Amino acid sequence: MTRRQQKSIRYYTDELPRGFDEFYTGMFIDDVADGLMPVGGEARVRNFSVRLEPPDDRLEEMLVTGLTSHEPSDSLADALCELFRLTAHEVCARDYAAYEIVYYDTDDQTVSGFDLAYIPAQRITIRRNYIRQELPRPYASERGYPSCVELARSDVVLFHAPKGLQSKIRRTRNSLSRLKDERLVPLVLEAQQSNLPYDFKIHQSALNVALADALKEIGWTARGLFNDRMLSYSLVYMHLLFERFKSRLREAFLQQLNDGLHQIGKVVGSSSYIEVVGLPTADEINAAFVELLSGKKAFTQIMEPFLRY
Amino acid sequence: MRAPAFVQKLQDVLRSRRVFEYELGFHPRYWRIRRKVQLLAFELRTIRFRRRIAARRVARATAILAQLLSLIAWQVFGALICVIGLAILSRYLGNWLAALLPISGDAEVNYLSTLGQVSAGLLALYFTAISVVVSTAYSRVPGDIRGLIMREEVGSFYFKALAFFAAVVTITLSAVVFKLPIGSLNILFVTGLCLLAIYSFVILGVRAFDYFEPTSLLPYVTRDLQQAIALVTPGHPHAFDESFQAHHQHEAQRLLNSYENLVSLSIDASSAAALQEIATNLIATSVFYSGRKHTIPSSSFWFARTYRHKDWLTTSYSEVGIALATGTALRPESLPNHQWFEENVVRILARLIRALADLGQLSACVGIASQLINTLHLFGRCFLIDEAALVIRALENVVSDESTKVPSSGFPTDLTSMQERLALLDVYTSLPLNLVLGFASAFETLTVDRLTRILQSTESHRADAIYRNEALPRAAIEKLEVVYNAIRFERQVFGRPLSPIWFRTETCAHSLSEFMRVCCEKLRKQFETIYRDAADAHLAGNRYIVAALISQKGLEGCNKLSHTFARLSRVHNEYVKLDRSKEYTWSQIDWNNLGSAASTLREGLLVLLSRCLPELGTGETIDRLPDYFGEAYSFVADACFDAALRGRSSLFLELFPRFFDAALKASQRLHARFATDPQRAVLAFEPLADLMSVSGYSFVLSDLASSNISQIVETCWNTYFSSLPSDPARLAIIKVLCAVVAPSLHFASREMLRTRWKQACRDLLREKGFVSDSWSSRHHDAKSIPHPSPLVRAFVDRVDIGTDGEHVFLAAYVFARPESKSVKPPMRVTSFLKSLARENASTATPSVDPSGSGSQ
Repeated sequence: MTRRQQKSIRYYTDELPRGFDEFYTGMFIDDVADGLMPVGGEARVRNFSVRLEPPDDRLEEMLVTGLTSHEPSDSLADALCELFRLTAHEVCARDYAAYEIVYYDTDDQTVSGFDLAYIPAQRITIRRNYIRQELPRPYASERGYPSCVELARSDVVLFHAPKGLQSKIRRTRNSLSRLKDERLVPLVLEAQQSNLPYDFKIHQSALNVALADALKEIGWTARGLFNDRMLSYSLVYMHLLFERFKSRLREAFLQQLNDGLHQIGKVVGSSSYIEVVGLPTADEINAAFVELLSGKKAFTQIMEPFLRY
Repeated sequence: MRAPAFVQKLQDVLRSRRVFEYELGFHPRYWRIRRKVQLLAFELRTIRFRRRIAARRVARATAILAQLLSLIAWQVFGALICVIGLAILSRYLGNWLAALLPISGDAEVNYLSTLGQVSAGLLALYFTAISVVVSTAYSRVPGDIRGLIMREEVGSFYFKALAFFAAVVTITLSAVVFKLPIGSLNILFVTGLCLLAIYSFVILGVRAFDYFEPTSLLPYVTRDLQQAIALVTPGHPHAFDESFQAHHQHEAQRLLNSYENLVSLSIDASSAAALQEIATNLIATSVFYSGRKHTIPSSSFWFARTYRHKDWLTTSYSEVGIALATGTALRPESLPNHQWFEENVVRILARLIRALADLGQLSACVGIASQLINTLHLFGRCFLIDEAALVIRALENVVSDESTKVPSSGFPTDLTSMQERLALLDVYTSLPLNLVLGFASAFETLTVDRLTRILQSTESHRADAIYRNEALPRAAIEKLEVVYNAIRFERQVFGRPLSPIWFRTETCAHSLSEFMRVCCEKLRKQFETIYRDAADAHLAGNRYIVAALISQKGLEGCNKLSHTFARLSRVHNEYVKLDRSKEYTWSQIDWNNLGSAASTLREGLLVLLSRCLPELGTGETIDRLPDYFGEAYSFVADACFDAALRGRSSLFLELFPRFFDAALKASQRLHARFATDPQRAVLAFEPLADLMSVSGYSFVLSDLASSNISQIVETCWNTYFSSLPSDPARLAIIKVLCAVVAPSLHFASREMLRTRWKQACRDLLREKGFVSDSWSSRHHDAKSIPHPSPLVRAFVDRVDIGTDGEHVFLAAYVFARPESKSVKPPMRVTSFLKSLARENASTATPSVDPSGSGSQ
């Protein structure tokens, strides 16, 4: 018989992270998450693969079933891509994503598998040796749960953006959440009714400048919103910035997952780590920037490696 | 503890100024304040503008005063001399004069009263004079013309001066009544004013009669129109203010309407001189405008607006979103009509030229068209191709109608009107030539370096920086504006321009390339319409002189067009090299296709010209008309040889029979003309020499290229000889043909042309490797020529030792005829016949490629 020993408390809440349902913030989070890894673990053009190094079939099997719980994956690549997609959502929306490593024990005390259980929380406190899951007090008292649960640091895989990106994501998210345009329609109606000297073009132009200003650090082009305002060169430049952002996020996630895998390896008896090949690297992106600046290569050729994965 | 709301707001502002600026837009108060600030700024600008206008008026008034003073200075000076002389005389005469002529106490009052009456009288008189003129000459004119008289500045100034004079006199008189001391200076001042009023009245009173001629108002209209144009160009403080732009546009439209009304007045008065003067002013204004048009922003409200419905599927998300949410339609897009000014000018010009033609004043039409020649060149230099097309179209109908009145025969005794019609046609057909020349020059100056310098101006913080360059096409200006706005956006977002200069230059060069492609295509079509279609239509209407004139101009046009395409292709190649990003789809301009289109047009015109030849040769020779027959003959002769040389068999077959007839006819004409002049009678041989030369070369070239052109030559000559009544007649002709190549001391200009043909023929043989440039080869034994044709080999053997086409023709055709047996061939023909006989006897090298790729 297999036992699953989860310490964190799993609960459901309707409350969405900040910005998730906002127009520009929601789009931004979706685009980062969907563009981080090839959808379904299969790249269209690039020679993309995910493997364990050194190969370990048993661990790979555990990873395929344990990395995601939402829907079954059919390969390690698929499982990893799905995990990173969900994780990117969380990191962009609330700066971190924490998963408890939940092992499956058999009767003979051996570990037959594990899964990464998402830790929902009103707030998570991260300390050097432990991580505290804090539940909403009414919810905890209603169900007789403790209001906070402490988990050993070694039992948790914590994903977050690298230091240089954390503040950028936060700034972008904050700015985007202020750039709501659902107030535009009432304003236009009011302007029509009350003879307000409202100039939609000027307001729209201010929105574009504010959006571009908010996104200049990340490089997200808001699904072509600036195509009429910028030259192709600047758009390619922003695309490359966005690729650099995703690449750094991806590498950080992989490092953090491998750190967790190191802990899992101690339990399941494996020293393998996950290696991802075939996705844009920092060197590749830097080379693309140099090519863009020099004008020695066609823009489409520069962008080609980054468009289809 | 949460920070107070205003502290949080401040933090937000500090965190992102741009977001704050956007959020401000949701406060209705912001828009109201913004509106008030805008209105205030507008008021301030208006005040400044009015002050400038007022200052300008004062300056002009001062200038008018100075002008008037300069006109009356000597008279005033004379009056002063008189007064001073009398005063000095009074002093010498002593007190007894005062005793003799004492000034009573009432003198001052009386004097001032009189001056007051004088001022009122003059005011009334001048007003009456103007009223009489206006009521007589302008009773039925539109209000704006009468308004022009009222606004005429010299008259207005005089009115004001008279009013001022009356006012000063009234005040001084009042002061005297109230026993206030007015001082002697006031007396002197009103005296001066009175003198000014009296003497100016003489000048201005006479000048008032000028108003009987409406064109006297033209300088004011022209000046105001040019001022309105200047005020919307950079350098003027309100050039970028939409309200001022719209104001100046309305002002310009009003002045253009005044032009049109003046045209109506002049037509009613049947005044050709007035119409010509209006046209001159309009053209001058167009020239003024075309030199400044590129400095006006594309979105300026100076350009009249048209409206276009927006496309729901391509309009921006924000606008579509608002429209969906509010359940309204998309607001129509307001588009500037960049040609509104030219459209107005051209409409007036067309009406004016038509009126002149209807009045029979064709010389005036020619004068106007001549002015347009330089204008079109300038339009080309300013890339105003569409605008130029409008101008050409303005003349088209009148020229076409007048051309139909030119007869091809049965000329009237007085040829003046016919000459004028032909002159008008000649000038009209010159317009496209000047346009393309200006256009090519403009593009040649727009080098990559210059383009880069222009694009550097997009980094400027000054809004007018991009408009301070030399002329650019509107398409390039629009692209420059896009680049400028993008750079401004980049600076707002990134704090610096992001797009490098090479990409900006590439972007602009791409738009220029596209503009070039469109223009080349337009020019090609325009040339086909103006020359080929028109010549065709006139030929169909049996108007041979007109068709020949258009064809000849068209031939010149084709040369210039080909040359222009070659020049533009070099510029275009430089632009294409700028395509580094491969971001744009560059227009592929098929220069070969354009070049061959020009060649096809040229060939078509040559055929048309050759079709005119028979009829041109039949009309009576009128020295006062240009020699259309001679010109057409020369072109067709040259084209015939050229077609043979280039292997254009179909063109040769079309041209040669007509050339044959024309050459015989030309010879007969010259023979008749110089029958009594033995010195110049030999000139009658020249057309025959041309014909023989082309025939001879065509025999050689036909064999060289294995074409069939020699057949038509033989057929023509056979037909001609068959048409002769008897063998003696044929023998006589053979003798004449031999006489053509007989040595003569007389050297005709056509001999030079035939030498050019011979050199062209030799160049072809050299290209094919049959002759060399080595001089010493002439002194060696003849080498075997690797060609199967004995004629070609014989010609190659003797081409460098004086054998011409005429000799080839005599040897290959004339002395092959049975009638020539009794005639002794000329010396060089004999030599050539020997060569020919030798080559006929020898065996041709069988392995030789007939197309000719041999080498010596």
